[in-house]
Amino acid sequence: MWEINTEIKQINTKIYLENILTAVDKYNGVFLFTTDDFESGNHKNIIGLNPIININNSAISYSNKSLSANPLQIIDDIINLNKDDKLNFPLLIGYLSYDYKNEVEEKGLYKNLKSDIFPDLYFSIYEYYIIIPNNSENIKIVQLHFPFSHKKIDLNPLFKTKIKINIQNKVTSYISSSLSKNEFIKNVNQIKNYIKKGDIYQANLTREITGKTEYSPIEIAYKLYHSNSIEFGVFAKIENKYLISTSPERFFKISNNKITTSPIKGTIFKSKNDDVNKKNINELLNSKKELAELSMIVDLLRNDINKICTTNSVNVIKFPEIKELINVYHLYSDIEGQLSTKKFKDIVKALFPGGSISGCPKIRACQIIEELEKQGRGPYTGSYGYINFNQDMDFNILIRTLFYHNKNISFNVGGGITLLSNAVDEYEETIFKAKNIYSAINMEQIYDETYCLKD
Amino acid sequence: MNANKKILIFDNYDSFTYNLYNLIKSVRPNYTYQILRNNNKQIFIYDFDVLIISPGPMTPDKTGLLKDLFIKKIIPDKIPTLGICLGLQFLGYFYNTLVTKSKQAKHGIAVNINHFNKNIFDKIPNNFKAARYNSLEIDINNINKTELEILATEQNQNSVMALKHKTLPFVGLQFHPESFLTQYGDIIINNFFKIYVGN
Repeated sequence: MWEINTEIKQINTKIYLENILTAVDKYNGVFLFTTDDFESGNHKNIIGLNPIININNSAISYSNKSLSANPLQIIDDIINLNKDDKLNFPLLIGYLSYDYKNEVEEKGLYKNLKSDIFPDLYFSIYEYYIIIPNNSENIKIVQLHFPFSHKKIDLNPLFKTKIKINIQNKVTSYISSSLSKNEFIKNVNQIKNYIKKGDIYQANLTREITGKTEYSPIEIAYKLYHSNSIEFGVFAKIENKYLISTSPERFFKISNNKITTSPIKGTIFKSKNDDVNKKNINELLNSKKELAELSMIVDLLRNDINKICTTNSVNVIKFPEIKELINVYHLYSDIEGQLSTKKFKDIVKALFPGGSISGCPKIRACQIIEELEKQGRGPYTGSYGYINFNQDMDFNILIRTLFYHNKNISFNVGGGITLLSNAVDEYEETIFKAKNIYSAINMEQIYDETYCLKD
Repeated sequence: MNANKKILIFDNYDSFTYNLYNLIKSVRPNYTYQILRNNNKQIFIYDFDVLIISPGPMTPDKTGLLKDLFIKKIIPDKIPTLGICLGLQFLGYFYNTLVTKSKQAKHGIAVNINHFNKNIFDKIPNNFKAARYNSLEIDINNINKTELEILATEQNQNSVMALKHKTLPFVGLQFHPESFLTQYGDIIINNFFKIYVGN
């Protein structure tokens, strides 16, 4: 195990998005971002470049060496050796996939479905972290020094003049959906049957859309960045594959021993007419279906954080609140608690997979999802985020996320199904939710996938 | 101070078990708690004074070792038992009432609870709000022929929301006292301990 030293520089400069995306692509990096339409203060952008230590499902690798390891245990060992309350920047950045659920529960409960493209878990310790507060040029550059030799990189191109990204008119051809429209509708009704029988109260059903694209990952990331308000975005290159997330949802944040989780349920699309918006917001705030679904998730997340919080410290802070993005309004809630453990392993075991993208009761819901989706989800509906030297953490829910591998792209769309769901409406909502992705990659017209996108 | 009692929380692979644990622990902080899943044979070895049956998925016959535990230990030793949701339905099933589809399935919705101001509802206002998460319920018409009696119903809807055994220390709640939508959850739990556990 290694002790890692840090060197911090503070500079004042503008860094262009184009340069960030290019550097991430060149140096196997990661970019955690919040778009500029969010005010500064609470939000920051984090770039990690040049991964020196990588941890996946079963091994830790560095300097051409690879040792088998239990990933959660080794992450806790690295944190314990390097924790420092004064250092509020990342030590590790990475993700857990939805399929990692198989590792956190007792054996035999799940079928062990997996996606074979991305690892189930992937965390890196990068040579450089660049922290940019939102709408600010006050930038912190952290260089990590490791007690072994490794490849170095040149940061200068990041700060030079703007690199130009020429977006030409290219297309993405549609290959398939893992569930056809009829299968999706049949599965929604099957979930409703399970609810009527008493198996569950709610389950999140999704389908995977695949295609082949002419766009480069940088171009897709650039277009998606500008497609919406994005609070918990990610652009990452992992083993020559790319993950691009436009997530609006925080899974959990840990700061000063306090954990906050912020589930989203309920979406309405913005109109250009303010009166219509006011009326729609009012309807959302009073929608029996949406409030019931959010309540369920709030109780589920209270349960999950109660596993790792002190008695009587878990409180519902906001319920319900409206979150406004460029093209939609969401209903959400904040739940807080005081942690009784700081071990990453305990936190993962208590919380994963996220309640808002699985269902309730969670284990039975995940079993039903396996039965109906028939395939693993990979990192989709997993969680991307960072773990700081001071043990603060922030992780998103990987929804509205596109995966790229050798010109092949895939993304999932889905929604929460309750007894009050209408199967056809649910199918159409999956298309609405992916509207920004469809248009960013210019996916060719497929009737089933686009008929309700017309204004 | 409360004497130390050992509480077994019987977990039906549910997602509200730790809310229930937190609620009970906040009411009786000095008790000792053990949470075991419904198929864990440790439940026959662990020595406990009170049984809490968690909510859970599916039907009351699919509760692992619970029926066995009732026959071998809970009834012979008259162990005070509080069953929530599926836990109430288990009591109904065990004492041969009908468990049927609910007149109106509700999940994550607070309803008004009507009660008789006695037992666990002592000093709790009538028509208080409580969260429902159930698709199944106990057939209300059948109860009086059994060893169970009704303690509360849903307002404007003749559905059983709480019951107790006529002679043994068993209580069931169809609503969820641990939900953030429920009022007086802590007082109901406190009343249960005062009446059936003695402190």
